[in-house]
Amino acid sequence: MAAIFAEHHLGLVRLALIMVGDQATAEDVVQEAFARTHAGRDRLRDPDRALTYVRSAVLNGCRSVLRRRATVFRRAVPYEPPVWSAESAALVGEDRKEVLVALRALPRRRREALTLRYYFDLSDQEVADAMGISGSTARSTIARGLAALARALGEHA
Amino acid sequence: MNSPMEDRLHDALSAAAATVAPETIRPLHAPARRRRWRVDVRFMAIAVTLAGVVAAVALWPAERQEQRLVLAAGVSLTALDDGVSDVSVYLCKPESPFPACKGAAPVDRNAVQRTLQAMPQVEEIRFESQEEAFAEFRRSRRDLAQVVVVDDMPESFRLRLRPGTDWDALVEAATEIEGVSMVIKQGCYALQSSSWFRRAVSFLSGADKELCRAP
Repeated sequence: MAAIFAEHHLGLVRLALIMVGDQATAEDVVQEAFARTHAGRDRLRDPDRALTYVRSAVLNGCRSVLRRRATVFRRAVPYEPPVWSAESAALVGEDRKEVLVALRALPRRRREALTLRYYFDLSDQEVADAMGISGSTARSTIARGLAALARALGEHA
Repeated sequence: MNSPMEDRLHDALSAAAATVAPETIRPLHAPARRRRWRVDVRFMAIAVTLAGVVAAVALWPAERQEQRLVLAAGVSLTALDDGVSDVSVYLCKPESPFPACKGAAPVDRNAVQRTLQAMPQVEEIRFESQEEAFAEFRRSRRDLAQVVVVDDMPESFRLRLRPGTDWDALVEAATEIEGVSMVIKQGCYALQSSSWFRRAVSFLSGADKELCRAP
């Protein structure tokens, strides 16, 4: 498990970054997921599924962060994480930023499914495994997410 | 094959992901130690413990010698795994924060050594001086070593025990020896890794009766 993390650390942090929007939080999420899976690694029956398990753990961590933020910021100004901020717009580019903002506005499941598919290039089944949903649900979630994204950006999928 | 939307999404995600440069990521810390990871994880566990402590220590005023002594004692545990010792017996020193040392007479090191040597479980005994402990400290943790001085380090006896003898009885007996601040069994501390320092403090404040519980 430690090896999986070491090997995929960067990718996992990047996944978390896309979800939570800033690197420090993303690193924390991955670290926490690492700590948790580390403690429970004896319970992991199937080593082949370790990466899936780790991805799920990171996604779960991201969900918690976003949930916490939603609670904290409900009555305050909407929180804008650095990645989507004007400062990093130069880094990522205006068009990309538009896509990311639209992605972020999607419901959680679609956002996660699209990220796993189009960032990690995972198959439907791998996306499904990481998210803990069925393959067909993953497939339709990705399709609907893509369509919604295209609608939001005024484009045809 | 991909639609323009898919390409845009792929491109945007890759670009966002690329804002995380590999060299800027903090390394992961392992939270605990298991037998089969023996060496690696122990060192990581120690790093975690100490990293958590370093910020706090840096903020401590110099007169908080008590904490420095605890830190010194804690860090000297990093030398625990010398590949030989099974048990470390730490000696009291003036101003030592350990309850066993409160109001104790100056330590008669030779008397402690004789008592230990007379115990049937002890196969080999080695004295570790403050200088040795500090050198080890500096070797393993250069950053923390700036906070602590040689005189903060505890002296200790490192014991190698005979297999098949009652080690727990030895730990108990050694704890009772006058001038002994604490007795740490190899491995006991690593199990507590990240919470070790908090436990040490709680132990010193009297809230916790035992510093090192059996796994």
